Amino acid sequence: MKSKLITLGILLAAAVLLVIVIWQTSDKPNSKNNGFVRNYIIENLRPSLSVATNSNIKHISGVIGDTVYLSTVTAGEIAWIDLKTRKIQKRMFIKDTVLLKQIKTSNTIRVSRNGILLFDGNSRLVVQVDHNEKLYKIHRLKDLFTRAVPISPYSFAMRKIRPGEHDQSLYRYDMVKDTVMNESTITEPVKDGGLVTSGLLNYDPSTKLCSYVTRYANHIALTDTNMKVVLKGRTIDTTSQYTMKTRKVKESKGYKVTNDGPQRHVNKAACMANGILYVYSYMKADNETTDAFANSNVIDLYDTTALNYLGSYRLPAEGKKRIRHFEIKYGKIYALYSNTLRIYALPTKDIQITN
Amino acid sequence: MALFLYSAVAKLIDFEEFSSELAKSPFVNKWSSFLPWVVPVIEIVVGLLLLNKNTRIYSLYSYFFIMICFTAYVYLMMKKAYYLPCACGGLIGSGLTWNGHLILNFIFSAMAFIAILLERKYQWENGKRYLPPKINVKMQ
Repeated sequence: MKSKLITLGILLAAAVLLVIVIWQTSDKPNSKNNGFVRNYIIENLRPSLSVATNSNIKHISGVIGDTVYLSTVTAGEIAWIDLKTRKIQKRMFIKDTVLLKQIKTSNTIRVSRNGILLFDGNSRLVVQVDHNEKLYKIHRLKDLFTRAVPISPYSFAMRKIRPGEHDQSLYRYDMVKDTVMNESTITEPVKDGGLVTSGLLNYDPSTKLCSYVTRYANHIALTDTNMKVVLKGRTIDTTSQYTMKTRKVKESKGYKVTNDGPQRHVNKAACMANGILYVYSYMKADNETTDAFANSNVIDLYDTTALNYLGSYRLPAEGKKRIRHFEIKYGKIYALYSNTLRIYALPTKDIQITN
Repeated sequence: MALFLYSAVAKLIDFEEFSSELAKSPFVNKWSSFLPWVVPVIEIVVGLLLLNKNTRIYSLYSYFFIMICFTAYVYLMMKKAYYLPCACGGLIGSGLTWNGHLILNFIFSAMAFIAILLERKYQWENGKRYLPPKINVKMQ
């Protein structure tokens, strides 16, 4: 008995030691300084309202009045939360079974007063439905696309594969004429299908500007609704080189491009409203400890006139729960976590915009 | 044994995909050049050691060691990692949280511990490891 306990004890100690050694030598994100500091406008922004959701909810599709629309993992389904009753309901807004089979779970949905737009880049589909669930139009595109955001009731901005090339550009799509126009190459050509230069595409109706914030570097580009670049800038961190490399992996049919290393997000989510670009950052500032940053969700603010950094909000992250998606509307942050929607009132004091 | 061998063979068949996934892990990224070979070999060896009752104990020791490694890894991630990626996937499925994984790994480690104790006790009772004392019978 004694000898076997000693053996087990040695194995236990050896296993724990091995894991600690591997941990200490691994490349941990935010373990070192990143060469910038943050100025917090609000350090401890607490939610004014929390509503339980579930793991079937993917992202926020729109906010209209007291109703928050959410997309789910079920193709053709929309969920919504009435913030007065805090109840979550759902319905199928696409009932055509043939169409539903073509839609993949990677689709995104945008809801506005004009209706519902479903974007499925992998199936090259855009589906327009009005709020009475009347199927308005199906747009079948020629190329795969990875990002799309409505910029008017009749058009949307998109990031899609450039025909004949292994990269992506921004385009405007006219839903009335079903034509793609206004190509804008705002990211460097990497020839990896646009994976490294993957980013977050948003639109601000108040300024009529689109923003593209790269996920794996600190690049920001603002365009007008014709996709013409009006301003380029950077987020406040110093990660100007892409933090991700890619490689080709053989599949049964051809190959796929995937990341050749851990994903190191610089910018995880972004949103634009009333002339301010809000960026959810994954980069720790030098005036923050690793532990404090690990227990925070930090949103950096930039004005869209000159892309100047305005300051940051810190939302405490209990249990390291990360924001999956967020929107800014009616002076509030609507932040979706894994199983919760939290709403934060934005501070009422004016944010100083300096040139 | 079937579990270990199935897991090893699956990794070797889809070797490129397995290598690619290991390279994405921030924890073992630095060792992703040789780990894709080491992991399935260890699984095969551990699985084969289970076949023979004389070597079964070593397989159980190896399994205990591996489960303690996984348990320690989950604990470190929960305490020290900047963010916790999805803990879904694998045989158990996507229903487990990181806490759930920690508890499950601890249970498997405890099961390995108990199996080792029982295995050695069985061998001891059957005199494999320890010979029974000789009894001298005086013939008259």
